[in-house]
Amino acid sequence: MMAQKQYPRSIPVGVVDPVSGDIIPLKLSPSGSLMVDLSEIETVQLNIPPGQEIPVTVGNAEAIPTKFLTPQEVKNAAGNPVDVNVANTDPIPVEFGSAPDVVIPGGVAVTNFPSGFEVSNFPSPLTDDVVAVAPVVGEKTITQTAAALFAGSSALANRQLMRVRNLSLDQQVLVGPSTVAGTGFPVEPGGEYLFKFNKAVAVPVYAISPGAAAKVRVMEA
Amino acid sequence: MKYTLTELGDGITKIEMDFADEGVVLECETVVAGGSAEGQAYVPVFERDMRANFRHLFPLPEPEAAEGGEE
Repeated sequence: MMAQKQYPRSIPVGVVDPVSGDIIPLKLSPSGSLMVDLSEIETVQLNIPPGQEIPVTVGNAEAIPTKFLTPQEVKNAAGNPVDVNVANTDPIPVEFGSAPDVVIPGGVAVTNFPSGFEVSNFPSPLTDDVVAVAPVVGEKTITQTAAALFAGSSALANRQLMRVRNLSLDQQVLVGPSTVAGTGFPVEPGGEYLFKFNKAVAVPVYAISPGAAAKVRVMEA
Repeated sequence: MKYTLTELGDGITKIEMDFADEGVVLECETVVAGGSAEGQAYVPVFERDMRANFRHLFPLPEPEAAEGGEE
């Protein structure tokens, strides 16, 4: 009598990990269906026809770190950019490697614009054409020594305006910084010049005569 | 009149002038480009300007008595 070959009653079935080549056995779920433990597979490749959508449920308890190839676009395996639609209910923090240029066609509509701003570090008030202090008037003799220009006994504190008239009939004077000898601005005989200052910043103005001494009339305010 | 010169650096010299020794309450201050030599040269100019601009603070000179006296 010929012996009948015996086959095992159950044969292990598995899937081949394309990366490692290992066979990952299928498991039987409590409902009786076969399932694969994806945690044992490092790479999962889904061959989905272009344009077909598939529902994917991510059950992670913690946020999944996502890194785009570039800040601007996501590419598929063929290197072509693909659109990504993210429908999270909570904002997804995104960290760029470098500050990208953001171009929004049509601009941005702000719906919760505040009704006003309160600026606490506003800069010091600048000069305007309002005389806020009593003016001081005097004469100065402009010589070949560059000297500070003012009307009184010293430069007026918090001055906003200084008007200078060259009283000489034939001698030009130069006004400007302490290096006025070479870079001064000319005030011709009989001419005038008006300086406007930021009253919070004391700026000395120098005058010099390239020739004979000349008188100037100065008003500060 | 008394004055002091102070070199502030960066080619600037400060002149401080005080007329208290003449019984006049007037303190003046200016700056000139250059060192002590330039400051010293500008002192008499500055003094004349201050005396002219604040002439109302200085006492008028005594009028000289006319020669010949009364007839």
